[in-house]
Amino acid sequence: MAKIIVVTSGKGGVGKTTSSAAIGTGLALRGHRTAIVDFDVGLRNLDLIMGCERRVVYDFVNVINEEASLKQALIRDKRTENLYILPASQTRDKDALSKEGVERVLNELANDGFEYIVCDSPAGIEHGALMALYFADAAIIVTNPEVSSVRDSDRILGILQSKSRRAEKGEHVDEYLLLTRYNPARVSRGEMLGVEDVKEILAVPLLGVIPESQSVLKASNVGAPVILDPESDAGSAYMDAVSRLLGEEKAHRFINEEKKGLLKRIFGGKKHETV
Amino acid sequence: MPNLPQDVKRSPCFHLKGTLVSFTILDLCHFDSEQFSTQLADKVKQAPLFFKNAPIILSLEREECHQVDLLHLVELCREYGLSPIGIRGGSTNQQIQAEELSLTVLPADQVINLKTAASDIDSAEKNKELNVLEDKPLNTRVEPETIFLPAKVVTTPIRSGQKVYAPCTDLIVLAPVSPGAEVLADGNIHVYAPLRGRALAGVLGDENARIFTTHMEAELISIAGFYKTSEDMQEFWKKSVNAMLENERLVMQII
Ligand SMILES: Nc1ncnc2c1ncn2[C@@H]1O[C@H](COP(=O)(O)OP(=O)(O)OP(=O)(O)O)[C@@H](O)[C@H]1O
Ligand SMILES: [Mg+2]
Repeated sequence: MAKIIVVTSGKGGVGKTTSSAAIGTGLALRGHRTAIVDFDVGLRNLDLIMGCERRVVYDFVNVINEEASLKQALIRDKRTENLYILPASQTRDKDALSKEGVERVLNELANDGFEYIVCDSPAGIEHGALMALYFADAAIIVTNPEVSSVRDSDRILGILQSKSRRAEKGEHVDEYLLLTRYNPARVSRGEMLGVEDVKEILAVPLLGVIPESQSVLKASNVGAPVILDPESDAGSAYMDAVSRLLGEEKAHRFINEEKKGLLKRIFGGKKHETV
Repeated sequence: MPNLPQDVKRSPCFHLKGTLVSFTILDLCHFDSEQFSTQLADKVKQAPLFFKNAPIILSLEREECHQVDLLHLVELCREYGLSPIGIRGGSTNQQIQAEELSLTVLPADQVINLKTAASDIDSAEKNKELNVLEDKPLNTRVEPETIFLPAKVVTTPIRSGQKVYAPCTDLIVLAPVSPGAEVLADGNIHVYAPLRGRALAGVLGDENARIFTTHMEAELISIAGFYKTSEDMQEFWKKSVNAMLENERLVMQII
C-alpha cells in the first residue's frame, strides 16, 4: 500500500518544495521506493531543486491528458536509488489537474510499487492546492514561525479535514507540523514565534524543526536536496524528521540558541551555520 | 361590497398550514389554591420572559383534579401572565366549562408523542398517530420533552475558515477553536480548550444562552446578538469564563 503524503502550507515561500525534495530523498535513502510529484503547475521548481530540470521531457499534465505514459514522464534520480520525480508542466495552468486524472496517476504509481508518494503542493487554497491534498493519507504542514504563516497553516488544516477524500469518507488525515526557517536567536529576541507557541496554536504533532540555514541556499544552487549534505544543520534536521516520519523517536534539535564555546566564538562555528 | 379587482377576489382568503408548535403543559397533580399560587409565582420569577403570555395546556387527566373549578384555575394562570389555551382530559363538567371559556378540549389519547413515534418507526401505532396528525392538526401537541435535541459535540480542532453550527441545541467543543473560525449555536456554547475564534450563542434570540470556555481568547463573542470583541475582554484574557446576558448587556464572569 502506497502512502500519499502532501507537503502543504497555505502560505507561499515557506519551504514546501525544499521540504518535499528533502523528505522524499530521505525516504528513498532509507530504502523506500519514493516518487515526488510536483503539483505546482505553471511554476515548476521541484526539478530545479532536485537538479533534474534538463531531463524533463514529459510532465504530470501530459500523463493526465494521456499524451505520455507515466513511465515516460517519471524521472529517475541519478544520485539516489529508489527515487523518482514527476515534474510539473511550466506551460499549463492548475486547472489542467482534474480529480480523475490525478487519481489515475496516483493509482498507477501505487500499482507500480511506490511506497511513498510525496506531493509538493502549490501555495494558496485554490484548485491546485486542493488537488495536491485531496488524496492524501498524511499531511506535512510546513510553517514558518510567524503569525501569518501559522494562520494559513491552520486554514489548510481545516480544509484538509473537511475537503479531502479521507474527510469525505469520515476518516482522519494524519497531520505533522514541520517548522522551517527557524531562527532560535530571533525567537529569543521575541522577533519570531517559538516552537511551543506554534505547537500550542496548531495542536499538531511536531515532525521537526528545520533551522534557517545557508546550506539550503547552497543546496538549491547546486541542484541537490539539502538532506544530501548530512554535515549541514538543515540536512541533519531533515534526516531526523524522516526518521520520525518512519515512526522512530528522536529528540528535537536546533530549537535552542547554540551556546558557542570560547574557541568557537573566536574561530566561528563551521558545522552549524545559522544565518 | 367593496370594489376589489377580479383577481384578488378570486384568490383564497386564507391558507391552512399544518405546523408543530411547542406548548407548555401544566400537569396538575392536585389542587390547592394557595399552594398553586405560591408555586406558580416562584416559577414565573425564575424565568419571567419564558412565561410571559406563554400558551399553556392545562392537563386534568388525574382523578384528583376532576373537581377543580376550571374558571378559578384559568384566572390564577392569567394572573401570573400565562395564557391557557386548552385543557387535556378532565371531567365532563370541566370540558363543558372549557367550551364556555372558549378553550380547546383535547382528549388525552390524541396527544402526539413524538418520542414514541421516533423510537418505534414501523409500528402501526406510529401510523395511527401520524394519521391523527394529518386529520386533526389543531389537536396535536408536542410536549416540551419531545423537542429536546442532544447537544452537538465536536472533538477535533475547529480551524480558521471553518464554521460549526448547532441548530436547536447546545454546542460542546473539546478542542481549540482557531482564530478565523466560527462556532454558533441556538443554545449554549461550551469550549473546553482555547476559544480563539468567534462564538455566537443563542443565534435565534435566546437571551438565556451562555458561552463557557476554559481559555477565553475569542475574537468576538455574541449572545442573542449582543456582542463583545477581544478589545473589551482583556480582564478575562486566557481565563476560564462564563459569559451571559444581563439586562441586555453581555457580561463575563471568571469561573
Ligand atoms: N531552512 C531554510 N533556510 C534558509 N532558507 C530556506 C529554508 N527553507 C527554504 N528556504 C528558502 O526559502 C525560499 C522558498 O523555499 P521553497 O521554494 O521551498 O518554498 P515553497 O513553500 O515551496 O514556495 P512556493 O509557495 O512558492 O512553492 C527558497 O529561496 C529557499 O531556498
Ligand atoms: Mg514550491
